[in-house]
Formats: sequence, C-alpha cells, structure tokens
Amino acid sequence: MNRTYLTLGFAAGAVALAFFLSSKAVDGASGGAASAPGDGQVEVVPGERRWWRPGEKRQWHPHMRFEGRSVDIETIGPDLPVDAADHPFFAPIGTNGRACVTCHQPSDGMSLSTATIREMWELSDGKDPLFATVDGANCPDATPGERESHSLLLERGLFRIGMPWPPKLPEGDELEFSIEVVRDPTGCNVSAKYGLASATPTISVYRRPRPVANLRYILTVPNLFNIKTGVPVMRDPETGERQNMNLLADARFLTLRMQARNAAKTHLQRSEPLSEEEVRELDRFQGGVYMAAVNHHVGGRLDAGGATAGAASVVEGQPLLGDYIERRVFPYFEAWNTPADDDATAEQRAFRESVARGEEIFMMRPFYIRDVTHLNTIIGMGNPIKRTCATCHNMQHVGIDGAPGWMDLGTNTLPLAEKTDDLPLFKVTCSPTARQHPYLGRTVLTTDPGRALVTGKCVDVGAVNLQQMRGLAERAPYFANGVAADLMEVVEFYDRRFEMKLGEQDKQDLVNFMSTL
Amino acid sequence: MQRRPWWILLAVACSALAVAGTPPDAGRHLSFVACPVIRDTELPCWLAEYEGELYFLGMQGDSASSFYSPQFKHKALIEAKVAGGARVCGGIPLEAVQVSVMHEIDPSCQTILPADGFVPPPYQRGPGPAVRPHPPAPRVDPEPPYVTRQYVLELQFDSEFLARRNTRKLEELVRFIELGKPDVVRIEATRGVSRLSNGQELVEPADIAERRATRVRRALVDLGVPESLLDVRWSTQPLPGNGIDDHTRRRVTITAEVAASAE
Repeated sequence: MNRTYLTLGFAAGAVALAFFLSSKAVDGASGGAASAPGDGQVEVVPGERRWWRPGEKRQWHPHMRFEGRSVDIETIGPDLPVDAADHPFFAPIGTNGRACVTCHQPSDGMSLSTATIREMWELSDGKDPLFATVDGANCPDATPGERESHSLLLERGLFRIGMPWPPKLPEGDELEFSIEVVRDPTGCNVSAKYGLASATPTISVYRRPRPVANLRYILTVPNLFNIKTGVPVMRDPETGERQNMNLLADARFLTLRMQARNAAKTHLQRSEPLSEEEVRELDRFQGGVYMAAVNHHVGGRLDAGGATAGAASVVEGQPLLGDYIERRVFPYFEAWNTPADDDATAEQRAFRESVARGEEIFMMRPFYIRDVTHLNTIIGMGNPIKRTCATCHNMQHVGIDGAPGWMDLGTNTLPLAEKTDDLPLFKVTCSPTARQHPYLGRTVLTTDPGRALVTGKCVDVGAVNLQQMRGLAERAPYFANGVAADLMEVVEFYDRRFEMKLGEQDKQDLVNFMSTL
Repeated sequence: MQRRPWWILLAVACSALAVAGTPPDAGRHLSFVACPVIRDTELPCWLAEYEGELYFLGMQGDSASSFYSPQFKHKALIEAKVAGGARVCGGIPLEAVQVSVMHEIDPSCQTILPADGFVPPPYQRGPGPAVRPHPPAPRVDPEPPYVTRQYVLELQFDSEFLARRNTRKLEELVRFIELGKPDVVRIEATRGVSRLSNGQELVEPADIAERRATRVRRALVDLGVPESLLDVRWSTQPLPGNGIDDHTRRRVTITAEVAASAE
C-alpha cells in the first residue's frame, strides 16, 4: 500500500467517524423488527454513512437499517453484535487495503452499486482500495487512477475474474472446446503477462459481486441430482456434504469456506492462507445475515398496509419452492390489491397497487421462454415452454432457481447479448466429437463463457447462475455482466428476449414490484 | 310400427360418431423424424407432421411428466402408436409417445400454430404455477426379500442423459444396495437402432453404449456405491430395430445380484 492510500484512508476514516458520532440514531418503531434478534431496536445508518470502510471502528448490530437512494435496506442477524474493526469480513485482512465489505456493502444490498463505485471514485480520486488494479481495473497492468483503466468497474460495476486456461477438469472429463480472443477492448486477454498466451494462460471475464445475505436459501440443497445435468450435485471436498452450487455465477466454489479462501487470495491479495478461525468467523457471519428492502422512498414501509416484506420475511421463511399459486415466491403484497385503511398517501396507495399488479405479472402471466440452455434443455420441459417469471425465479423469498441455476439466457452469448462493445469477445469452437451448444451450434461468440470455463463443456458456454432478488433497488446494475443499468432495463430486456408484449404500465408495475424486494 | 326408444337412437348415433372419429390406422406403430410444432392453446399442445398428417404428441409438461416435450430448433424422433379417439388440438392422437431430440440444429423447427379455437384436453397444471405443492414423496425403502433385482433405464436416441425418471430409479437402486448387500452390481448398456416407418434405420453412434455405462457407473460411485462392486459392460453392436419398441433397445440395465442365502 502506498502513502497516498494511507493518507486518503485516514481522511475518509475521519469523515466517517464524524458521521458516526453524529448519527447514532436508534429507531425502535420498525414494523419489520418484530422478529429481529436482540432487543428489537434498529440501528439506523443514514445515507451519508453509506460507505463501510474496511477496518472502520464500528459495530455491526443484529438489526440495522441503511438509508438508501431509493429504498432503505434492512439487515437482520447474526444474533450478536460484531466489532467490525477486527472482524475478518470488515477488516482489511489482505495487502491491498480491501475487506470483504468493500464489495459487499450493506447499504448496497450486500453487493455494490455503480452509484457507490462512482461516489468512491470521486471521493478518493480513484485511489480507494476498491480500485485496486488486481481486479478493479480492466487489467492489472492498466494505469491506476485513470478512468479508462477502470471503465468496466465504473460503468458496469464489473470486477475482473481471472480463470485459468485450460480448466482443471474432474477425472474422466474432457475439454470439449478451444477458445480464442476475437477482440478485447480491455487488452487483458491479449496481454503478454496476463492473457491467454501468457506463461500462466488466463481468461479474464468481468462479473458483478453477488449479495452476501440470505445464504440459507442460496445454499440449500433441494435435490440429490442436478436436474439440468442429470448427475448428482457436487460434494464439498472438505465435509463430503452435497452442495447446491448456487453460490457463485459459475459455481466454481461450492461453499462459503472455499469462496472465502479464494477471495482473500485474489480480491484482497492476501499472501498467506486464512486461518481456520478466520474462515469460521466469515462462515458464521455471512451465513447469519438476512437482507431485504424495508422502506421505499415513494411507497413507504414495505411491511405496512397489510404487506409483509422486509428482512423479517426472509428470516422467518423457509427455502421452499415458491412456484405455486398457494405458495408464491414473494407472498407479501396480496393486501395491497385493496386499499388499506391506514394513513397512506394517495401516492403511496397508487404505488402499492402497482406493486401488487407487478407481483401478479411476475407470478402468473405466461409467455414463451425459449432457447435458454439448462431451462429449455431440461428433459421434459421442452423448447419453448409457456410459463412465468416464477418458473426460474422459484425459490421462495429470494427468487433464485432452487436447482443449480446456471442458464444461458443470452446475456453473454451473441446474437442475443446486448451492449457488448466494451467487453472482451471470445470465439468458442466445440470439438467435432463434443455435443454442441444446443441453440447456438458448434461455434459460439461469447463475452463470458461462464460455467463452461469450469466444466469444459460446450453445453455450458454462456451459462451463469441466477442471482437472488432481495435488495435489488440499491444494487444496480443487473445481470452478471452489469448490462442492465436499472430495473427498467431488466424488464425491457426480458420483454424483448421473450416477446412478453408488456405494456408500459406492466413494465412500471414490474419495476415497482422488484424495487420492494 | 313400433318406435325405437330415443336412447337407442342416440347410442347408435354416438357409435357412428365414435367410429368416424377413430383414425383408420389406430394401433399402428409410427416412427418418424420431424420438426415439432406447437398449437398455441392456453397450455400448448405439441404436434408433429408426418406424411401430410398432423399428429398430437402430448401437452406441455415438465421433468415429472410422462411425456417429454420436444425442442424447437431441433427435429425430434417420434416413436409411438396411433391411438383411438377424436383429434386433439387438430392432430391425430398418439400414445406411448417417445420423444428423442436430434442433436443437429434445424432453425426451421419453430412453428407455432394459432389456437384457432382448439381447446386442449384437461390438464393438471396450466402455464402458470401449480396450484399447491405436493408433499414430498416419502423415501420408501425397497421391501424385502432382498433377492436379485433389476432396474432398467431407457434413454433417448443418441443420449446418455439421465432424466428424472431414471435418476429416481438410481436413487432407489442405491437404497437397495445399502439394504440388500448385493454381491455384484452389473451395469449393461446397449446401443440401439430405430426403424422408421418409411423403412429407414437410425443407428446410434458406436460409442453410445460405453458413454451410457460410464455415466451410470460414475453416478453410482458418486452416490457411494463401491467401485469394486460394479461390473460394467457395454455392447458396441447395435440391437436391431423393429419399428415397434425400439426405444427399449437403448437402455442401461442394472442388475443387483444377491447370492441365494443358504438355508
């Protein structure tokens, strides 16, 4: 770490401390606090203190509310307060000044929005550890501090993931494809030091950080067999326990422990392995945090007027399939179909009605889902299949796919991928003896081969795991490659992709619904 | 003149209608390769055309359905028997339908016919969510006596993919192995031929039986079956097709052999 970092870190810390001392507000009137652990009081963090600085002397409370840009994010758990300064999730335990919390900010739904990234850029003149060139620049050899060196992070919220090439495959598996770089605006994949032809051949892909919360749902194992591959779901090599493979975009690490060890080494540039105690602490904290939006700046409380959203819903729920009329994925807003007898304003009532309509579209309006690898290709489902959003976003309370969720929706593969000009483009060529990509054939152009960089299989090219849907409003942009700048762009992508024929009101209803999760 | 009761006239009329509605070749086995077609009814009907006639394959389902829906952008091998009864969604109904998705991509396979007033047959689940969750199927351990037992996995043409109906059999097999303590578990995979109704034959690739055997062996080992217990075999010679039950020629037969107990 250089002197500039230290100076800026100190300055930022001083500012943060000033805010901390001036904003120790406590709100005991939260409806969402009914099932919160502890004394039921909520630690409110004002928007000015949005950034949680690594190593900051601050306490994580069992029940917190973070004032956001459009909604307030609520966190519940773990049960006991945590002294953040010394905790491995919050402390800069690597060499580059970052901590886990750097990219998993509670006010950003335990992920990181481009709005926050840009604020930090301005505040630190691009020198905050967030922008460490190891993965916060388009390539480690980019000139630090220059906007264009960090364009993917600043514009799309993307961090670089260096994947070894060729992938190390399970015994008995064969690599089914070759890969070449068609173009690379980042320069990293053609870099002599970091690229595909380097001494340590690497493919750099660029992905969004996934929210670290509600992981009881993300990690639950619903089936012994992976319905998408027809083989048993993988085991944790440490414990032998089956894992559901939904933790990361490409399921390359199966458990929090595996992910933590790798993240410390890569993202935090830690030189020595995490201690077992650190791994346990990380496992305990990350596994115990629940998060959701609790207050919408237009619509008001999301647990008012008969609604039951907020983090308490996730705490109290169970990881069950929610693709049922009698057990909906997000069963919170039925009461908003009829005006509540409360003191809601006309604007709030209109918003509530819109949210209820949006939820109904999400659950009930069918459209043809087509050409999605690992959804339409599941034997029995068929291509196309006339279903609803809830078919894939099926896990109650979080909206991930309960089965291992990787799919090629088209966000990473041409011709459907959009806004690809600033991303690297790879040409994947399947070997003549391999099964080709079922909808794109033997040659696929992709900005991120996704799961295929782990399995070596053509059928997996472009496939990435779904993300959960809680805290969405505060963690734009969306999709693993950050292609959708806001929730409206998400809706419009699906409308184009699946010819949903949504009206303008439908779109706004869906946006409003998703913003309340 | 004695007048016939009205209900007799009605019965005669109904029989005449039933005969008229029954396809002339009911019971005939059909095998053909064609683009699948959708009828855009509330719940889509799957159809396919063969020799100028439209056939009804089944309703949209899921991995738990007995009918496995085909795929647009791919032709499908349809192996079935012409059923009796009236047309469904405009197609002559087939029964015992086996669908195999051909691997080659065919962009022309994506025809959606308008509903045109056709009403799909009754279905349990529409295009939206199911009504209510079914309670999870209880884990039922295989009943004694624990004597030699056989499990047969039938697979799609040129595929080793283990669909849900087959993975459930494997789960049951593993429980049987735990309880029955077989001396050997023999895995025998075959390579098939499908004789089409036009006289052509589709022959599976030479290595398909090996791939099937390997897929099942790896799954069983992953599920905890000792590799030493497994006797894995496959045949590179294709089993001849007959145009009637060719789907049974592409299979993996797993025999858990329990030595007869001394009495």
